Amino acid sequence: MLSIKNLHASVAGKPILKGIDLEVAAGEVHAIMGPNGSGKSTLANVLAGRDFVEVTEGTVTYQGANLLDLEPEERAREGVFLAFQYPVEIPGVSNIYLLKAAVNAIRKHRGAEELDAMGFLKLVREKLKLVEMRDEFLHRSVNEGFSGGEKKRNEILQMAMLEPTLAILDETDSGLDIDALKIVASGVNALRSPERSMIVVTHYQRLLDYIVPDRVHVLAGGKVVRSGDKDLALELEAHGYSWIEKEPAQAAAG
Amino acid sequence: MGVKLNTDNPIESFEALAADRVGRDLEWLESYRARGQEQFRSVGLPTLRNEDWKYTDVRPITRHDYRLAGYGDAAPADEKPVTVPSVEGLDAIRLVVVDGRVNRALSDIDALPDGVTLGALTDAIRDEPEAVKPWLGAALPESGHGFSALNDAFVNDGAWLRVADGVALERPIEIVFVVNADGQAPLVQPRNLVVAGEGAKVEVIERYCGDDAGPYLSNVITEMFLAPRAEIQFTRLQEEGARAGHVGGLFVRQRADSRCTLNTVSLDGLVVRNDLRVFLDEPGAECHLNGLALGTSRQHVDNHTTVEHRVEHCTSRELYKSVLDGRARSVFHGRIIVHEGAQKTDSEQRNENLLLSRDAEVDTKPQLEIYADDVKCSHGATVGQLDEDAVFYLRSRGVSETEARALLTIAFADSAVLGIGDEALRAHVDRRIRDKLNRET
Repeated sequence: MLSIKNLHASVAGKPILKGIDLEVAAGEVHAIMGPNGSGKSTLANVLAGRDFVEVTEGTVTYQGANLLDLEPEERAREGVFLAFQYPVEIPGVSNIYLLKAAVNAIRKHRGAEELDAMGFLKLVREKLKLVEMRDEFLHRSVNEGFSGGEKKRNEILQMAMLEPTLAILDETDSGLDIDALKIVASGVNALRSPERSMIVVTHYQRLLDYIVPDRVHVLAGGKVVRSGDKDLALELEAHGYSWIEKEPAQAAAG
Repeated sequence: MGVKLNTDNPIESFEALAADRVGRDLEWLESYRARGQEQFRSVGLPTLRNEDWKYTDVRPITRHDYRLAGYGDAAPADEKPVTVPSVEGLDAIRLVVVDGRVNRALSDIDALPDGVTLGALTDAIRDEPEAVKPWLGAALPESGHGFSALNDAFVNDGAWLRVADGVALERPIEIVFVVNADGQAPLVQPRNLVVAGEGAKVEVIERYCGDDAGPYLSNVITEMFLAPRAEIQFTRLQEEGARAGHVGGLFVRQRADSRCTLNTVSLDGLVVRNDLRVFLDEPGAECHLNGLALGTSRQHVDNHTTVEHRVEHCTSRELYKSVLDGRARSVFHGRIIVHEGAQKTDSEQRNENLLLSRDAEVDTKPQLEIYADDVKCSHGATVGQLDEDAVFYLRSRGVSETEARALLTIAFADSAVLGIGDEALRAHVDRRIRDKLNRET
């Protein structure tokens, strides 16, 4: 599904990622953890195609093709989805308008017919239930005046509508209270499938109680310093990131 | 024979042309015109040295050989057929003004609702001059600029609309101004009077259209009067020809507890100047001013607005926006004047500008002048580009970059036209915005 090899990337000339290697197979959920400034969000942004991040070395292969060659919208149409850490407010563009434009752009790319108004509404109502959002959210401007939790639920709603092949969740748990966290997590879990891979970027282990990962990777100083199964997250929770940073020698074990 | 407004003496040259103006026997009207001539002689056309015109060079629209139009027969027998562009789905009572003259045949004013007078100003002056007399010039400030003096000097035809006390119209009144440039460079100078009686309620739509074939100049003044508790929903939609100049005055006087919304949408034309002034004359009056200027290539749009809070307890809200591409330029000068004693004034003014190209330019000057001490006033102006985070957000959802930019631009512009009451008209404006932006991007 996704293969990252020796990825180096800079922001404003400053190296942030310094040789990331990561293999994500179809159907797997990988958690990327790490302290602030370790490069977690930069990695998510590279995958989504943010142009302020400059890839200086390495490759990213997605479904056999060079992901870095694709424009952000092409990546989206090929099934890559980024749930933003800070979703943007877009006054004057309604949620439903964006969802429709996005769904139809992707359907068109896949050679499917555009959904008619009825078909679209039926689909969106079904997905709204998943994230426990009311109909009225559809007619509000994208994220405008939404609470932190509503914004994150809106990201998951979009993800549910677009049915990505590779979903990247960038600190989707940040700023959420426990109820909102549960709603978001159950929305994500409902979308787990053998064809869909997910990369869950998080600072805290808490989210991983609800979205249980197949693999956990710890990023520090722009590299994967340790990889393991879900128990690695618990260990981190017990010892804190200083534990990893003190033992950089014990590098990624697989 | 045409007249160059900037070099020839238009007053002397136009006088012969205006020989068959209406009401030559009315002393008050002739002296009104004479005052306009006098005023024009003293101030002349504005130049960049004039503080109120320092960003607007009118030479591109004053250098042509203009032919004064708007006199003589309304519809000569040999006149070429006129196409009046329609707004899809708009169900309105329509008055059509062609080359400055009201055209009855093209209008739909034979069966007007009770309490409504709508027709040609020339007819009103001929048939009921005493009804016109109190209003003509009554909303204008004491000293206007050269263009408004020129309109005064040759005042003749235009729309005359009166709504009696307590009458609420269901259908909007649509006044369409059409100009056939036809290589003749007409100068049209309609004067429109709108008088709403106590508690009257009406929506008025002014549309300015013309062909792209050559230069022409629309030098328009509308005066509007709201009696106590009257409500007017007004939209001026400017879709002039590509080489046209448009100088549009809108002067409004409001009495107690009256309410008006004034939408000014400037889409086309070459050099456009709008002067809007609202006098809040009695307590409880409320006005909402919305403006949108959409400029591309070398278009220039200048909006000058003044809201005068003359007494206590009045409210004003103002939102003006511009979207500029190419080498387009816009000017916003918004004055809010709170006079002495106008306590409890509640006023907000905002000007927001979106630049889509590096060569586009905005000059904005929001201005508050407050001479009372118990007031709530705010103002602000922004000039910016599209939010690149929002562009990326949309692209990350599969929307192409071009589409994302168009979508965000339209969303920005749309909020300035939400105040338009009639849905068909609002939809038309939306379509025009979309078409224009898609064509240019």
